[in-house]
Amino acid sequence: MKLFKIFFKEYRRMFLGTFILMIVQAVGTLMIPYYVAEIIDEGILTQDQGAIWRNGAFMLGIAVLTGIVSIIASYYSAILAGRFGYFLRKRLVDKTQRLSMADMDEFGTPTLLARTTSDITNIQQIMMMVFQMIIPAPLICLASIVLTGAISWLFVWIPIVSIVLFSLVSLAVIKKAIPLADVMQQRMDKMMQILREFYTGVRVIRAFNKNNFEKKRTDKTFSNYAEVMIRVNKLFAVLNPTVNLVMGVGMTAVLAFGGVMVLQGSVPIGSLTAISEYTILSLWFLTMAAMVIVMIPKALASLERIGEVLDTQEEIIDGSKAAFELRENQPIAVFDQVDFAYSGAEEAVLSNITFDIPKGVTAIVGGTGSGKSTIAKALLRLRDTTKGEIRFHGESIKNVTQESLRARISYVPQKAFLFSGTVKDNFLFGNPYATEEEMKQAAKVAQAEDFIADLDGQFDAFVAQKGNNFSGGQKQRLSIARALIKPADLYFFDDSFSALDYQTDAKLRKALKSYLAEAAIVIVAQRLSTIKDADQIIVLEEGKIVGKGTHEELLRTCHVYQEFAKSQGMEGKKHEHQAS
Amino acid sequence: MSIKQVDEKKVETETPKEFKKTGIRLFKLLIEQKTRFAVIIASAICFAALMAITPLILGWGLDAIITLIRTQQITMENLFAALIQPVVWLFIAWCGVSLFSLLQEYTMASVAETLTLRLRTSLTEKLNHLPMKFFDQYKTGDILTRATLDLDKVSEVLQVGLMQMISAILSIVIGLGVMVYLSPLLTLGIVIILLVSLFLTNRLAHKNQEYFSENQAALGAVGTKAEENYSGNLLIKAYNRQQATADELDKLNEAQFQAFKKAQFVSFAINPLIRLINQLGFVTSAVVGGIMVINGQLSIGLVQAYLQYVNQVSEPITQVSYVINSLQSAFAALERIFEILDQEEEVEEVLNLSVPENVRGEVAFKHVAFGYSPDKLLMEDVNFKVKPKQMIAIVGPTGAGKTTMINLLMRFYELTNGEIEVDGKNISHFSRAEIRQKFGMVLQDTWLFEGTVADNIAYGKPDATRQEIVQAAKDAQCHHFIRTLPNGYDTIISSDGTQISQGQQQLLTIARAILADPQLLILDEATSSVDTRTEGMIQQAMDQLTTERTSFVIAHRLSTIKNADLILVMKDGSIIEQGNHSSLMKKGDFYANLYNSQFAG
Repeated sequence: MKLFKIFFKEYRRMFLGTFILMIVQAVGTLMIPYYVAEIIDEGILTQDQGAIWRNGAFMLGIAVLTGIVSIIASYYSAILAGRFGYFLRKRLVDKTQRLSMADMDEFGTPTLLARTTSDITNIQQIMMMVFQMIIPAPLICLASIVLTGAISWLFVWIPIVSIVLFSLVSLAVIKKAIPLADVMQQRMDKMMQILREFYTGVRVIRAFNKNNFEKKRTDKTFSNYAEVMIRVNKLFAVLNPTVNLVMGVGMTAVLAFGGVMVLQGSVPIGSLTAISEYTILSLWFLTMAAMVIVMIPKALASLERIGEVLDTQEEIIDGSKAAFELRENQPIAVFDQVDFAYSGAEEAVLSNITFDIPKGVTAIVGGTGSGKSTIAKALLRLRDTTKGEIRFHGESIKNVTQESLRARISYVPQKAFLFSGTVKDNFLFGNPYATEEEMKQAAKVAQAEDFIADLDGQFDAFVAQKGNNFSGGQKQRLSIARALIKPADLYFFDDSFSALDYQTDAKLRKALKSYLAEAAIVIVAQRLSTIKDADQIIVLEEGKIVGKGTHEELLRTCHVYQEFAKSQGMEGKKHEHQAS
Repeated sequence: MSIKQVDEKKVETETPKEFKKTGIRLFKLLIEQKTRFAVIIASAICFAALMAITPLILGWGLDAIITLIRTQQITMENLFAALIQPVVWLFIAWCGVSLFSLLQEYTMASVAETLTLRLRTSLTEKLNHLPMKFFDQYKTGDILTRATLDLDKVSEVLQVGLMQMISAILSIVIGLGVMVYLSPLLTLGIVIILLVSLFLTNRLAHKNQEYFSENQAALGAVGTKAEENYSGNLLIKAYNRQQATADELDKLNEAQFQAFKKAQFVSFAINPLIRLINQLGFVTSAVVGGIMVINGQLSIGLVQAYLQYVNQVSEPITQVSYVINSLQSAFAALERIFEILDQEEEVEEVLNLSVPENVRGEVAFKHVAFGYSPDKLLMEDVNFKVKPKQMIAIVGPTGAGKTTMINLLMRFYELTNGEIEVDGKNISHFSRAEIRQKFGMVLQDTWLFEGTVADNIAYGKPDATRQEIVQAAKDAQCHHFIRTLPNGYDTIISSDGTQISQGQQQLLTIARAILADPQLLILDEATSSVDTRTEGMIQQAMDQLTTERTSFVIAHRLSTIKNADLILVMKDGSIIEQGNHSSLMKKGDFYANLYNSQFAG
């Protein structure tokens, strides 16, 4: 709601204008029965054809005017509802760019995406409904009461009682329906999820012969959903009969009470028609409003979910310094007794990690889940460490801005990810000021030159969503090229050579060494052949460093490393033969 | 007066292919709930009839009052005598209207949902009997949409639309009948105006659809870009590109705003426009009716009644055109479900022999041929024989037919020719479910369901103790990482498995197979995402698994299958070499090349 208030302030005038148009619309709608009454009283009863024509013309005029006003009101409500969506989405997107990776992961891409699309669509649509179907209801009710009162104050109780009676019943219905709407959504989600598992797991389910078990599990979610839907339907089944009953009581009252009034001469007979129409119209609009009101909590929940993202504390706080003081003869980066753990976990992902990253090649080896990727995230300050300190150019990375830190590190993630657009766009992503020459050079080093030359359009070739029109190896090479084109002090390759064949891998490493002679290179890898020439190799096991040294040293001293070598057919003898 | 409206914004151009056939099928499904259906129809008729009478009664009352005034007999007794009947009848009629609408709606409340529930459960029943081919053909998202959103639309349209349709048609027929009776000429005029409005409604509804699909497209563009931004966020931040990406999205956001504005405006501007045209009819009736009263052709009460009829008829006419539109899309949705329910099922075996409790594990492929269509065979004449407790490795390049072989063994697909024998008996004589249960399977594409880690491991053995589960996890080398999860073994994981990596998921499914302890084992690239050292460590557990039973292993890394008793080298659907590691290496052909290329440092 806080968000709505901010938006409301910005668009106060348009809100006010639309509201006024709606008042005109409400009064206009009710003027039709008013003129019917006039036709009866002035025209028919006095046998005056002229009066009939005159009032008929008024009626037509009012109808046209009301029509136009309603259309304009629709236009402005569409703008307001649409703009609110725009406003929310813009804030959401801006916020996600400032959140830490940890927070982003916590929400997850599907969740954030849902909030950017379906939640906002919900809000837009429901806001439109509020304008078109809810706001008019009280306006019409109020106008009915006033217009009835204008005929005779003695009749005012008829619309009031009808409105109050119906509102009480619908409020009761709505009050019960709102919590049900939540339940409904939850069960819908559950149904989707279990059915998805049922469908995607068909092989495993059949292999374990669990067909009937899974069918029962899935059908249970179906019947749970049907059950809540039926409850909701039954609840709403009360609304229409209530309207009819209230209308009946109203009409009967108009006829009986009105009959007496007419005979006494207090009101003309045509006004009975007008009064009953006022009541009918009020109830009609109220019912529409009642059907829509239940959707408001849904929109509020969506709004709250967006608010949750916007209110997330930005976990990583920029340091004050915007630049590093460069000094000679010191390592580019240092990990000093770094710990990293997820909150609530029994064991840490990284513990007591200490090592230097000087110029030259540092390799990190470790098994699945040994914490290799977490090292990159900590270094880039995509997540903050639990304990210890990471220094870059001698400065704790918490003391500088994230931007200045990341400007000096070039990173290639484990999962090659390209942005949709062209090959060139992806290169420029690494360095917006890169020249054609630099692009070619980077492509050459990344061993991507040949296949880019074969592409339709070369550097202007189309790249699909996530780079899906390229093979795994091509994607990796392009994402490596993108990193190489970025000028940096430290290049981090996070298991980025895995999809390359052995030959390309070897060529690429050779080219890297001369291309990045002045920088620090970190290579995370599983394949020992990729890293055996590194200046230092760090061996990780369950989040701890269990070995540090060169390939030869580790083969002699590090048990875990020996096992790796063995599992990859690199036993002692073979290695010596190759090293020579 | 029925006020519920079918959601106008969801009207779509979708047209069902066979309107009549689907209609009949739907009708049959509805008839299954015949008592309810009869109640609904009966109360709808009573409702509409009573609804049509009320204006007449009101008119009667008004005329009675006017007669009293005209004849100057203004006493309370006279008034009472004249009004008592109309007032009482009016009240009774409205009570009836209310009662019947309650009856109708309350009964209807469960009809649509009962129907869709039935369709949903027959869908899962069907899925259990469909051949694997079906699952390759239809994407998960497609099936999910059909079973949930599509059927939801059906039930919504039935729930609101069907009832609206019944009452609308009855209201129109009865209303028009009375109107013609009151004044045929005036009614003709009204009908013409209504037809114009009907035509216009349809035209605008079409325009509206266009704008809605534009908005949908704009929304799609925002979604695609946003997804890219979120999933590539690591890169965007690592490369300091936050501002540039936010700017790009802002442009799409603005475009969506414009599209939304247009679509919603047209959608909601239709109502006042239609109302305006209908009011034209109303004004005409008021004026003409008034003149008719002066000429003595009608009474005031009846003019008043006539005006109410005009409303009672014009409102439903616009409704009906919307309902027809939405019925069309509901029918299209129904057809999509029927399409699945009509798929051909897996033929159940005729012999249906029961599989012996203990299988020795002798497996033979005899002249096995297979293709999705008989004229395009993927596999021709595959022959090999496996002794109990042997380990068989299947290797070969992508698309060689390795997984197909496993699928045939599991009877996920039917052979085109030849036979597969287990313990000397043709497996197509066994019941599918029983033979499958003898196999344990670990696949490259892991499948986890929403539940705790422990539940997932114990899937094949639900009564396993915590100790057994932990032991299986230790054997599969996933005990450590499970303990780094927020709640250890009780951490809830889900099918999309975002919290755990692909390699870790593979370890969990291996633990599942270890615990299930099957009589035959299939490992299809079971460790493809696990690092080599961990793989080596699981190898011990695997070795134990594979020595105790007949096992089939598909592996990308040849180092893991060196000890296999039989290696089948496949290429383009046929076995081009077979033997053990050393004999194949000696042969120095395809296998030897493959092996050497993997170990060239």
